[in-house]
Amino acid sequence: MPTQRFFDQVENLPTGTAPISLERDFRDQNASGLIEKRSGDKSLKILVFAGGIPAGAYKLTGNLSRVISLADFSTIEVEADENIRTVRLPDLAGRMVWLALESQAQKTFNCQGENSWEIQLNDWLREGWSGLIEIRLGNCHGFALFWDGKPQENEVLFSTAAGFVTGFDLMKNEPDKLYEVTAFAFVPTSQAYQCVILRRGVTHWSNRVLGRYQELVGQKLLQAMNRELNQAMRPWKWNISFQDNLMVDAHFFPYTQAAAHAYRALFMDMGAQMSFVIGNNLTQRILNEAFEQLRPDECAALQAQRLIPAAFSE
Amino acid sequence: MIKPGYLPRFSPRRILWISAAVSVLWIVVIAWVNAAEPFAAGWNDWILGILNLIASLAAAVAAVVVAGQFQRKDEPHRVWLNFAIGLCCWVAGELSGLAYGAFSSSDYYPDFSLIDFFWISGYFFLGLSLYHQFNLVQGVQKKRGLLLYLGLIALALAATAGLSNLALGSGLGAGHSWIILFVTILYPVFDLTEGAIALRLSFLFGRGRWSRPWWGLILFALADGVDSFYWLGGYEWISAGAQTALNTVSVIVYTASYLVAGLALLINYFILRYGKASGLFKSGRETGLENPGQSQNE
Repeated sequence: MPTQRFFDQVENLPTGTAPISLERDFRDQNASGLIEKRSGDKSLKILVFAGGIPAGAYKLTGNLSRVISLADFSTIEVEADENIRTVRLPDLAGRMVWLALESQAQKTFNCQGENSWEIQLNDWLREGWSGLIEIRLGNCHGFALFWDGKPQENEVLFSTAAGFVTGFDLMKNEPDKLYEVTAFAFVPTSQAYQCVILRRGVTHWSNRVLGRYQELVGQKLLQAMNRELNQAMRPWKWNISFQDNLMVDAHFFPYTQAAAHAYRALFMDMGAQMSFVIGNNLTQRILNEAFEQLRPDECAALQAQRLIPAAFSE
Repeated sequence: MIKPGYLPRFSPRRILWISAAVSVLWIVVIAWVNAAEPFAAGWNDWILGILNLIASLAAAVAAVVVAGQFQRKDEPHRVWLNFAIGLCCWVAGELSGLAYGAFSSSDYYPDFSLIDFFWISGYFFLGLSLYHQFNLVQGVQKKRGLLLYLGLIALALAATAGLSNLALGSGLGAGHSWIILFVTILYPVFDLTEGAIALRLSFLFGRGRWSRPWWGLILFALADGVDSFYWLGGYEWISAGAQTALNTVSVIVYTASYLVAGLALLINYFILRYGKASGLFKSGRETGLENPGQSQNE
């Protein structure tokens, strides 16, 4: 990982105040983002915030990221204001950085032209590769999550001078530019990966359930349920939404327990509403059938949090 | 683009209570007319026919409005459209039955009348509705095309034709034409098949609101079962009192089948049209979404 700032297009928040108060600002405003400190040894120390909660602190040397304690981070002295950077990030961007910091850089390579990018995408697809890629493209910097060889919808994000954009359209628009790509392998024991696999499992599970429910009851009742779920979630300020038969989870949960709490509540609400319309038997059956179609590691992650079909029908 | 749910002008819950009360009253009147025969000869049957026609019309209208709540691309559209067409055919069957009674100068009915045509068409479309619903429940991978349904219908018709030939050969139905025997056997075959599938679906949907319109078909199969029992000569083995009781049950259950289907469809219509604003969703159990006071990150 190059020792460069993440998302350097994002405007730096004023750093005139003491670092400790910057941390307090994140907490007070439930904001996601990061604080970067460059100290004398030229390494970069990063503190990542998830909705106001510190998700982790890291020391970044070259491509190597190492976890440091929050206390160590707070006590790092910086010589000048320009050596400290504080940026607010959307949840999606914050959790991508967090995942990159908790993963292992596998390889860095350059790609130029649409063809070489297509070849690379096909290679990943053929291998069924799962991991995170970081892309630097001119003045843009982004991340994309790959799962089973495919880039995941709603998990591809670029920071540009004009703000954050999702999807690969940016690369399609500038096919001849040189991309610098770093591929990261997940570290299965890391909290960030645990959250990813839980999120992928829940998203895949709910999308299949919503699809089957739509088949049985039609678009209108599905929309009614989506509306209800979106409304019930609003007070919690979870950055999760249901649209048609898709669940879009853009929330930055710093712990699997916090994510599991949200997912459990959503599935319980979903199960209760489905049971009312199509009955318990069918609800249970749909939940079971969709669960059985998940990858074994996704199933294991869900089971570890007691997110199982039997828990969500009456 | 479907607009978000909005508030109904009249409370659906109130409309349903009134409809349920009217339905109960309807059944009481049917039972009374059937048992007391308070009108002059002929008029009792005529009034029962009118009451059944209105009940069937109410169920058909409810089915049409439910079907209208789905977009064509919606999978359940096929289910409820065929259900509505089936019920409309039965309304036409009830109407043509009344018309034959009113305009025919004698008790003569043709071997295969318009009434039979409508009834059989009704069975065809209601069967198709059950078929689509069953396939939807079974899942996309097991979804089958219309051709298989037509094949099953052809098989049922062939089996019924075989049974009719067998019956004629063994001297049953003497004095009646083959087509009368065929239709007489066909009805219980359809009743039994559709009743069994509706029962299966009803169990699959359990206590869900989607199970209830099928209850109407189950009741209809029950009411027709009594008729089949009569045609098969079952009345010879039971007492006169039991015969009267069975007749009464048959008359009441027959009307109830329309009313139950109609009420269930009306509930589904309100749920589809107004969603949670219909007030028909039960208050949710504790799901963990009710108390945002405690931080989710604790």
